Amino acid sequence: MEVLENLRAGRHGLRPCPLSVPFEMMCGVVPDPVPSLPDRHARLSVRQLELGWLGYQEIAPAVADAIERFGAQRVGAALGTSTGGIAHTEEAYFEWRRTSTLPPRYNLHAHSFHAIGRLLRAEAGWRGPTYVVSTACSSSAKVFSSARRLLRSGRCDAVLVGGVDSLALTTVRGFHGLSASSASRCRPFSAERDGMNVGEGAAYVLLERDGRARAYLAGIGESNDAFHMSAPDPEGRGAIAAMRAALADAGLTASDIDYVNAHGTGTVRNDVAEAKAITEVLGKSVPVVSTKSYTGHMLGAGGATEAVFSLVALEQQWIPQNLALDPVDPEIELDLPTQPQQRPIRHVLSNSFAFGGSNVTLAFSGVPA
Amino acid sequence: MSAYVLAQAAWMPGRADVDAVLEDRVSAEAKRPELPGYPSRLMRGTSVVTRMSASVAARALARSGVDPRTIPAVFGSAYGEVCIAIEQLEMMVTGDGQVSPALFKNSVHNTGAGVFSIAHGNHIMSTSLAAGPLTVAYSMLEGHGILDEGASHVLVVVADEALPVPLSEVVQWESFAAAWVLGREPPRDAGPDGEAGGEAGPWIRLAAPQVHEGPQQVPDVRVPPGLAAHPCRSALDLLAAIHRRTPGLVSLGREDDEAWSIEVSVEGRTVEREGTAS
Repeated sequence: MEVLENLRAGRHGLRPCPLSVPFEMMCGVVPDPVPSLPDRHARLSVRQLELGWLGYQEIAPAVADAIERFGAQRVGAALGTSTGGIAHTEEAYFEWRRTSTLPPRYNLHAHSFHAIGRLLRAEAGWRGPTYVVSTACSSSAKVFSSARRLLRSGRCDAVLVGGVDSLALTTVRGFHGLSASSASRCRPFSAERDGMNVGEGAAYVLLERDGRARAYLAGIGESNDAFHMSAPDPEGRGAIAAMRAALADAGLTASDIDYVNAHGTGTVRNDVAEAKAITEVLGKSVPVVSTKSYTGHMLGAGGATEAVFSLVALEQQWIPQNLALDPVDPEIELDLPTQPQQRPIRHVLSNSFAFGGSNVTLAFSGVPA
Repeated sequence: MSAYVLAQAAWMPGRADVDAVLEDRVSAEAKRPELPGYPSRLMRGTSVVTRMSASVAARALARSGVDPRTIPAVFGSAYGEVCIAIEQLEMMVTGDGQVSPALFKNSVHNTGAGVFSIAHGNHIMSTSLAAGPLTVAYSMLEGHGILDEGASHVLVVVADEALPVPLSEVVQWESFAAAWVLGREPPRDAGPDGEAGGEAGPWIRLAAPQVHEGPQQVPDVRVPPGLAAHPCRSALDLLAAIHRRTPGLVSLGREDDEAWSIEVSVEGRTVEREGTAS
């Protein structure tokens, strides 16, 4: 909830990196203390799963209600993570290097990607399909596609989607090594942007095939850049393909879109390529916001977090402002609001792009008045 | 919806393909996976899990006759790039504390999907899953879901490499990868090894995976010792049932109270093959 309050207030949640690294970096940090898991899950009490658990509590009543209405076998989950429990293995590895022994507390299952699904399944009691998608920074947007397949095929009546990642030395040092991170607040679409801020957190959405919708998943577009493992296609061709596919899937045209939640990492290459793609598909007059200027880049949790922001925009008929934007990159010809706007919003696109050229655009529609 | 198997491929260290894996026949020539169609520059710095995923994907596609540029793909792995993860941690300990950009870009779970799309110019879509010992089941489920949505074909790859030290102190297995090309329609052309069946069949059909309660039929498969605990171990049973054209319910793994299986059926003309059911 703090994140949504910050969004509403135009207030970022970026802080100096709390990890021990020999350089400066701002990060999207969940303030301590993050509660440990209950004793019955003590073996899984590592930060990534603690964040996933903490974030889940807000949606747990809705999931319990879905289980009650549809039955445990008819509720499933498709969850995203990029880091998995690597931070847990980092601690264990460093101790092993010192002592030649893995610490007794080390749990390989807590390292694994799918532990979040097993944990929440065990606790919530759903018994439908439960698995994890890990496509780096598009992970928890790609889960919408997996979930829709579960709904369309008749496997499930409700599917929990979401994502969770925690800060880890591997990612913080890795992005620094790629010269992709910033020592100061990230500034997506600004002429003075110099990189992204790694973030952490969790976000969830409950999808139902039928029922009391607050908004609709109208369309999904996926593509591969087929260009480079860590750099986007500079012409944004993969992003263009994903956005066009999402529009076609939703039966919408460019003029139907009232707001775009951009991937907008704050790296030089991503933002200019994405801006080209948005201009090509939607033109220059659709409001575009990168909410990573509030949260940092939450990697495997980013897609779901930004889906939630998109749904808030639809429900509240309101879009947030871009932060730290001025001066805008002159190469970027987008409508980039610097003030929050209360305005009619019928349909929203949310972009997520990733290493490996994994692209996905989600189209959400509001409930007609 | 059910899916027709157009082709399959497998790899383990020293075992170059499905028959060698099933017979646990080791040869020195198969020490490294072949990488037909993958530029060496692209594959530099990639891990065993990515290289063997790329290899089985390319070989299964070549057999199937399906265009690798246009097929959607599912890559499943329980632990993904775990060796690169540990290598990066070692660099933090012994080097200058920096993580190599070349390693980092190949450290994500979808590295296999990424190199596949880049090498083959595939702009369609791919996804990368993890589901522990149910990784094969969920990869097959995702593949069937993609066919349900209208794709004519889908590539399903599962792979996990041997865990590195010190994680291998917890559990050990050998590297192993398998791939299947599935289609909505029966195959039109026979693959080089006859798996695709040709116009007259026989065709192998896979029903969508199901949660399974009760006994499962397990093919008489010799499990290499290095695969006993492997997260994708159930792929071995599926490879065997398809290779031997053995109809029946094949286990796709179990975790806690959750077990999955897949129904294999044989359609069309039957062919007597030595040592196989027909």
